Amino acid sequence: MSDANNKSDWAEVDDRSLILSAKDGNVGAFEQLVQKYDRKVFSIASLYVQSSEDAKDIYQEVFVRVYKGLGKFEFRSEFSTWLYRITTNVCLTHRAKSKKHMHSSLEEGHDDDDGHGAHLGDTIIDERATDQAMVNAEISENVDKALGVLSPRQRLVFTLRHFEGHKLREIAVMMSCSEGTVKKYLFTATEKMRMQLKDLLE
Amino acid sequence: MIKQSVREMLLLYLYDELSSDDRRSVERLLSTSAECRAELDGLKKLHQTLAQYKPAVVGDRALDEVRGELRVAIRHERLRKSFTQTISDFLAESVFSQYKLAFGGVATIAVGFLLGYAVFYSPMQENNSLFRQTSSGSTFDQSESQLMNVRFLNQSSDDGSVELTFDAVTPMHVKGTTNDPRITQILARALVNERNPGVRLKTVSAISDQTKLQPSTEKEVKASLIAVLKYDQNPGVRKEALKALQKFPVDDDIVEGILFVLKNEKNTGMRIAAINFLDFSKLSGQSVDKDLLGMLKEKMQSDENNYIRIRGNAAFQEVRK
Repeated sequence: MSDANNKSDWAEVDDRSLILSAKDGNVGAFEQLVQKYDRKVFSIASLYVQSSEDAKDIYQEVFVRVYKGLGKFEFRSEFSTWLYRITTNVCLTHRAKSKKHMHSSLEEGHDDDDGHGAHLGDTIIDERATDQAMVNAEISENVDKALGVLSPRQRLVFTLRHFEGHKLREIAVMMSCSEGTVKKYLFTATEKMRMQLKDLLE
Repeated sequence: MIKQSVREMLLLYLYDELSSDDRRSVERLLSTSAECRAELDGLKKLHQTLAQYKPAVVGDRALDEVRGELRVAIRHERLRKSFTQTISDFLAESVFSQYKLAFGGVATIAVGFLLGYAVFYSPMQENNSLFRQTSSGSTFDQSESQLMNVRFLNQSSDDGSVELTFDAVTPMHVKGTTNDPRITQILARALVNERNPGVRLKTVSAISDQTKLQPSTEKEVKASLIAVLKYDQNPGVRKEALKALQKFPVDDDIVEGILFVLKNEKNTGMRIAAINFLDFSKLSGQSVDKDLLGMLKEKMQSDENNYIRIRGNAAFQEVRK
């Protein structure tokens, strides 16, 4: 058993081995690969759409695309880079699909009958309920609204840089654009946020 | 009024995205320009405000939920993928490998016919052919293909054009013994893809009845059984998978599957079967996975079932020897 301890501990296995194994049809390896990164993907999606249902849709679409595309993945980039690039693509296209739904969810702030469109914090986060009690509800509401005013790309760049802490050059790779373009998005997003939160900032 | 380029630099300064030279330039500017300092203060205020905004933190429960949904989606993907793949593999192995030369000749003749058809057919014939296909309810009626998941992508009332996608499923008939690697491969895939739990149960039983597994399929069968053991929604199928796994020598994959069951299985009977599965006396004196030890300790102390606690305790002592 001892010599195989490392094998059984998937967390210790590097991405390359997991990918190669998943390419061979090992579902367990694919699941481990998912579990290594999915919290981050879900987090980006949740911040980006702020609706649990939309975030779940994005999560699922991202990993189904990964599953379908894994056979063609040739290690030309880090797996994480490839994954986050897919995530940003799915976020941007998803936003375009469900724009109406997201705004109604954000602005009206209520659930529909079957719970769809519930605010993310209501359904997925227990911790947030505790944290939320400690922060100013008005600030959160205003920040939500301000984020809703940003264009999809501005919002994505702002989310990735400000809340997820990615460097601008990483975001540029994820979004397949130049670092200069990312800077522009970040700058415009920041200007809009300042404008939207003017009353709070004064 | 500060230039936009300077405001951009100040923002990048705050995010620590400047080179050391640019950073020093900004610091020099800040030491001389009150306007720039005010601008930077404004940005800092925004950051302080955003710091009070608590974005949602992804919880374990939500993550488990989406992982479950993903598993179902992946299963459907595998179903789509493996169907065509299995059939083509099957045909390739059973027919084409034996008659490669003859098949090559037939393929060449077929290409010749196709070329001739492409060169000499008349548009009238094409229209008639198309008409026959559509008016007779499509060629799918003539074959045994079943159409499912029809989705309209586009429909125009102006010219009557429609664009749609669908899945065409054709029933296949395969006969052989359960020791045949090709049959085993189909069974292994059916195990994780089939929606009907009764069929899955039957599939596990068929695998379980095999007298000897071929090395070429053993790995896939074992992986499928472990996947079923861990994730199948039906406890009867999970239990049958555990039984079928007894045919395999216990290795790390199986131990990992058993640990998963002990940790996550809600069905007490399954947990008991799982803890009984491993012959702990054989593990005694070996360097045992720390996960296994930790799990046994946890079971010994906290499982709601008395038997599992006692058994966990005994196994823990056995392994520690």
